[in-house]
Amino acid sequence: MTMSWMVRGLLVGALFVVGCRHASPTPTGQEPTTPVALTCDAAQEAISKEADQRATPWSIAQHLTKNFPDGKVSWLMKEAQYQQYVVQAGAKNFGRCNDSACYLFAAPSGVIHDAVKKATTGATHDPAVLGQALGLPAKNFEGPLRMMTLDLSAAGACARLPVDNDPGVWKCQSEQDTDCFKFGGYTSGGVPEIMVINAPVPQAAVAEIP
Amino acid sequence: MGGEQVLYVSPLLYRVLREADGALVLEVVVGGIAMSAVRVRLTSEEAEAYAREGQVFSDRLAKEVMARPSFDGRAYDAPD
Repeated sequence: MTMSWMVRGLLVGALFVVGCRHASPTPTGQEPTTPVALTCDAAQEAISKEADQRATPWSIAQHLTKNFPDGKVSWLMKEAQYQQYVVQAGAKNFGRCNDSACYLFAAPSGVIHDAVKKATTGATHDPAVLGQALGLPAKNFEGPLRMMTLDLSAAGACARLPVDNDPGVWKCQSEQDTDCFKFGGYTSGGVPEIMVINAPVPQAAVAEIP
Repeated sequence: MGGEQVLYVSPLLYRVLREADGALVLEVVVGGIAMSAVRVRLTSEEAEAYAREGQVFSDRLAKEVMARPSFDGRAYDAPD
């Protein structure tokens, strides 16, 4: 009898462990571990839905799965602006902030990291190579830079397709324009981009690009 | 930048500066996945509007610069 109860106990314990493992999603390397768009508040969710309708058959969910499989985003800032608007200003979130939120354009981490690696030789980087890799003018990358990287799921940040009304949007005037905004989730240079809402400064990894 | 005074730093990512000669300059962070900054020297009319309206005016002007970073040829790159 005692043995029977011990066996039952072991079986129940084993089932509990298996059940817990199934309850927790495991990273597959193919999809974000958390559906990032679900972390948006009601206002951002409404903007995201409208953007998805406009982008149909594309959507933020497909965009994240295809272009941001590890859920990590990166972006670059010139060193002077990083110091003035992040460090000295004591910013809590990255990006342009209004009364409701802070808005940040970000690209897949792998794309930015690979571009920086390609452009770096010795102790400095080549702005022309970095600009070419990211489809942007070289002058945007002259001088020292900072590269930020954020895990969207870990940060609990909201992500959606960028829209025309987002702060900082400079709409392209013609097909030839570069370094401007085109709706659809890609920069004018063809790099995937998303709008991250409230990207917390303390959770971002920051690297110096001399 | 030596001799300039920071009058206002906005969470929208712009600053209002007073240069050594007394002129007002608006510095605006532009760009998406790669951010840099441009500056626009305010005209006397714009400086008066800033004195009168303060942040309301500078917010409006900064948004115009974000939407058109060349600002009809008036914008120049902020120092690195």
